[in-house]
Amino acid sequence: MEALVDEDSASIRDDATSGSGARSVTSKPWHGWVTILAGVAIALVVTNIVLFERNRTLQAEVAARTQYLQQTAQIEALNREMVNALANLAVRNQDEALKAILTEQGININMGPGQGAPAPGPAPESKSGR
Amino acid sequence: MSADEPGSLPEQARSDPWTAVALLTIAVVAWLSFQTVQQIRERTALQTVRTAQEAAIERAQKIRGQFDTIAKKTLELAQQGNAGAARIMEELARRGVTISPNNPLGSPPPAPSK
Repeated sequence: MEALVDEDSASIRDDATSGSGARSVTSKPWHGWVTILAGVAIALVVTNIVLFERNRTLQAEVAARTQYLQQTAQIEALNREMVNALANLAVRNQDEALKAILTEQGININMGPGQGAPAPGPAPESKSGR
Repeated sequence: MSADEPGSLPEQARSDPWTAVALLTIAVVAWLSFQTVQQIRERTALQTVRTAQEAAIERAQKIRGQFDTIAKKTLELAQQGNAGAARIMEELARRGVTISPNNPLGSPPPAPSK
C-alpha cells in the first residue's frame, strides 16, 4: 500500500514538473496560430457590432426618407389640384390676387380667347401655364 | 514516458483541448467573416438606396415648399376676404388638410447619419 502511495506521489510530481516544464502546451507552433486566430475573431466581433449599429442607423434613415417621399407624393397631387383650382378661379373671376400667387411660383396663366384655365404640370417650378 | 505510465494520460488530456479550441476558433472566424461580408454588402446596398433618393428628396422639398407657400398665401387671401381663396381653403379643410402659418410642410427630410 505504501508503495502504491509512493508511486502516485511520484506521478503527481512528474505531472507538475511536466506541466511547467519544456513540455508546455504553448510550445507547439500551431498554438500560436490559434491564438492569432482567436484575436482575429475578437476583432471581427467588434467590426460586426460596429457595422450592425451603423447599418441599423442607415436603415432607419432610408425608411424615414422613403416615408417622406411617399407623403410628398400625396402632397404633390394635392398641390396640383390646388394650383388647378387657383388657376381656374383666377381666370373665371379675373382675380389678380390669385393669379399673383401662381405667378410668384413661376406658374403663368396665359389665356387665349375661349380657352380654359391651364393645367399646371407635376414639376410646378419648372412648368408654366399654357 | 510511455502511454502505459500514469503520467502520460494527463499530457494527452492537455493537448486534446487545443485541437478542439483550434477547430472552434476556425469555425467562429469563418462565421464572423461571413457575417462581416454580409454587413458590408448590406451597408453598400443601403448607401446606394440613399444616394438614389437624393434627387427625389430635393424635388420633394421643392414641391413641399411650393405647396406650403401657395397654401399660406391662399390662407392669407381667404382671411382678407377673397372668395376664391376661401373656397379653396374650405375644400382643403373638407379633405382634412389644415394649413397652419407656423407649421411648414416643406420641412427638411431626415438628416443623414454620419
